[in-house]
Amino acid sequence: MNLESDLLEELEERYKRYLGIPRHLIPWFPTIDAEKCVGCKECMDFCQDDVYAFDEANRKVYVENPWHCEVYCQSCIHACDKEAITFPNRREFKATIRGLRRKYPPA
Amino acid sequence: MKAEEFLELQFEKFRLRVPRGYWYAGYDTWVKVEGEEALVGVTDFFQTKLGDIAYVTPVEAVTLEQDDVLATIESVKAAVDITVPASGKVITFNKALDDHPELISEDPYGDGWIARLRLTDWEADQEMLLSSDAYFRLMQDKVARELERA
Repeated sequence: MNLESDLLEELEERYKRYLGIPRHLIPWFPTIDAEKCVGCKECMDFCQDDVYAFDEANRKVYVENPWHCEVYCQSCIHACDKEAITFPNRREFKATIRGLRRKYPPA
Repeated sequence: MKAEEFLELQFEKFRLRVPRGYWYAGYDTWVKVEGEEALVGVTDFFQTKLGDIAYVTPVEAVTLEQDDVLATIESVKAAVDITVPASGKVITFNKALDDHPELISEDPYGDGWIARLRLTDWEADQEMLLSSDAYFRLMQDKVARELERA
């Protein structure tokens, strides 16, 4: 089993790459603090990429499709009154994506 | 803007333009370099998704790195963060947007610019940016995705 190829196979074509970089190598996606989430689903309504899903058992939202998240988009934060959503630190993340850019130069 | 100065794509009722001579980020903002300074703003594709803009709130920071948040735009649809495509010291934010945020929708590459920067790391920043042709291809993909959702 090759985890990388399995992941790529599962991802829809439009989510496979970001500027030529395999999307699943890019650690940009939200984290939800389950303690703060009240299950209002505002973030689900906002996000058109189906990053979020609702856990009926716990009545909370969770991140179901992290690789669907638009790189550098974090606007769902504004949809959450409870401040339950966080994203990676942009400046730390920048070093990561610049490293990936060098590894996967533009075609 | 003359026809040869931009690439254009029809998307529903919108004509999405991508001017030549600008640099673009994958997150739909542009930078137009003028010597050691640059103007930055959002692309036609981005503003089309926003709908009517109510106001623009710039960040308080005066020194920005590429990929920092530049401003938050509040529209009738939602609040969205704008990401800055180049590093620099903020010389000024576009004061005209205080009273006329709709300039972003009407003229995103011209009077709707968001900030003027003094560039501080342009050579490295460029590695992460796209030419107008490359951004146009990316925008075509994004439009196709929007149409799939519709």
